Amino acid sequence: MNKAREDIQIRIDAKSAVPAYEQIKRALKLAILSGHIREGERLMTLREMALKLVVNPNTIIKVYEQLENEGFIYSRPGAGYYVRLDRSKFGRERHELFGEITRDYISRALDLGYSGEDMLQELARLAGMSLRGTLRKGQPDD
Amino acid sequence: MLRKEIRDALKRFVESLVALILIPFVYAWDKLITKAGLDYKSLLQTGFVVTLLIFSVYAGATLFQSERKDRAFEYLFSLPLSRTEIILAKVLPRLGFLILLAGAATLVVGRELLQEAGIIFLLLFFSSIFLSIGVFSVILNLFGVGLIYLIYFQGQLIVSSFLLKLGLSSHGLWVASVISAAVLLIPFGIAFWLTFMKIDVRPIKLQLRTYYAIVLPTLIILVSLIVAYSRTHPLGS
Amino acid sequence: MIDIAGLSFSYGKTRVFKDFNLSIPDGQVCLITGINGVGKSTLLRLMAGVLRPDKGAIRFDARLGPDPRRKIGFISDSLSLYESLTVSEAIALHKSAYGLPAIDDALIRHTKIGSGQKVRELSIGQRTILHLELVLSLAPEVFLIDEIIHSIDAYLRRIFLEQIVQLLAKRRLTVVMVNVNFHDIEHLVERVILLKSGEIAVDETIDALKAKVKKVSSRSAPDSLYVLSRIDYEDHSDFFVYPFHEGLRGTLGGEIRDLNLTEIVSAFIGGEYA
Repeated sequence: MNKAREDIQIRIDAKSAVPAYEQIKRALKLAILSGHIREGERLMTLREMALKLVVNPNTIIKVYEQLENEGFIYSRPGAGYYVRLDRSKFGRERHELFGEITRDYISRALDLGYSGEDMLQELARLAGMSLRGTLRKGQPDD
Repeated sequence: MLRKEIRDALKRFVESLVALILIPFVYAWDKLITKAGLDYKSLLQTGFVVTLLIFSVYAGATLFQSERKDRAFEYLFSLPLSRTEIILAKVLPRLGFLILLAGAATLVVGRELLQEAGIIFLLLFFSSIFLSIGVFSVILNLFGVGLIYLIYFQGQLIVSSFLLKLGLSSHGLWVASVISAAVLLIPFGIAFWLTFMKIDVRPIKLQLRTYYAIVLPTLIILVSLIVAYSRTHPLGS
Repeated sequence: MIDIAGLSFSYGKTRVFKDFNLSIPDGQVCLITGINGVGKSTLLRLMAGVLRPDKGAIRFDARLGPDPRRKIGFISDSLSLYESLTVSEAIALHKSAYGLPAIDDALIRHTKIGSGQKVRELSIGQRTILHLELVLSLAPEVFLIDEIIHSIDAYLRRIFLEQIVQLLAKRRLTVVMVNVNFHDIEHLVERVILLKSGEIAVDETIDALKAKVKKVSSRSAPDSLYVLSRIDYEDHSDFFVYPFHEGLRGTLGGEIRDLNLTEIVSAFIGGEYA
């Protein structure tokens, strides 16, 4: 087996009600869709991944199974899990993930009591800042 | 498990041997000072009796000492050892040393020691085991031992007078002592067995029912029988 | 598989369980929690064979053999061991009791435990690792852990948890943990059981629990849901609600927050003290 990608950062937010397997799955999907892991590269084995994250191996089994079903990875028996990038699905998957992230944001903003209009305004403001290069990820705005 | 128990039993044995050495020494010292003749035989006899008394109680009372001191009860009962295995591993080495001591006493001092009081050491050992799991206080246990002594000796007399009547007096005191000992050991043995089969880490007071149910009534019945018998058939005639 | 049926148990006059039933399938990682004194450790001890039920039975899968304790790894909350023995004597006793050919002492050496040290001289962390090593050596089918994970430092805790993950990945290991603190173990746990007065008050998978228990911050109580407990502040209150479902989002008139396992269990327990 070739060397596995071991540098994928996955942080599980214990406070989120999004199940752990879902969070891990999204993180891996994001890594794949953003090109951080490339086509043909091998993922860590189930056991290695479970150990690295200190999670129940059943969780990783679920993640890999779902990723395989959704066509992001494929398994070579006895040789591990490899990334597959279906160019035709690439755009669609990316869009779906984008939709998930956006729905997440909207529902949390709604909970806080902000309206759709508030959100559009804020987005416009922040998007403007990020286009100008003055907004970095995680940095508080002024 | 057995290796550790043998080590523990040996430790208690050696500690009790101190009495075997000390008492004759004191006795001899006293005799030397008063310039009376040294009677080695009675010196050793006293030494052995005291040591046997001490060891039989000590060996019994310390049966679960390492578990109590080391807080190892939970660990012990989580091991795949049946209660029987545990008790045998604990009792047999100690019983072995007791028999060894008694054997040495017989060799050195003669058979009279065992004939008169041999079984009493066994009874002391078994009843002291209940001390080990905190069943009785020391005072109550000593009281029980006294009662046992009484029953044993009176029992011996009763049985030997029976044997005399039946014309079987040739073996005399030996048979009588064995019979009265058996009569005492059986309820102890049963109570002992049943209590330990059910033992777990709960406080032992909760598990006393078996012991109370079997041993106490038996002792009371025996004492009553003896008292009744000696009233109607004055012994010693 | 662990099958508890009709279990009744008392400590003297105090009845802890009456007709208690619980079934844990093979390979599940189960968390048992509840307030102090509710009987969690007692339940674990009953499962480990250290205590005997007054009534009812605890049955294990047949592959554990006639004496299931042979394949049950139990770590009690007092880390019960023979304290006067040295580490090597303790290992020898363990080996002979279980009939094991050898014990892998890699962890023991890694944590610098001397084989001549007496067990009582070890620190809690070292003693926990020793206990873990002893328990792992039986290749257990069932692992019962009572409340010791959080008394050790973070490094040893990670080692401990990694050992469990390794075992879970290798075989169908059933784990039952008793904890009141879930910080590092949340992602190992699949099923959460909350005990209350000797009965099972909550029995859910962890994902379901996280979906069904939420915190709602508002000025007035949400009336369409069951409120487990509440914390009152100057200008608003936090209500812990169960069972929540997605259809209610937006109708509750307040900020809805997800909770981690500690907060969820607190919410259930908080209701008991109210």
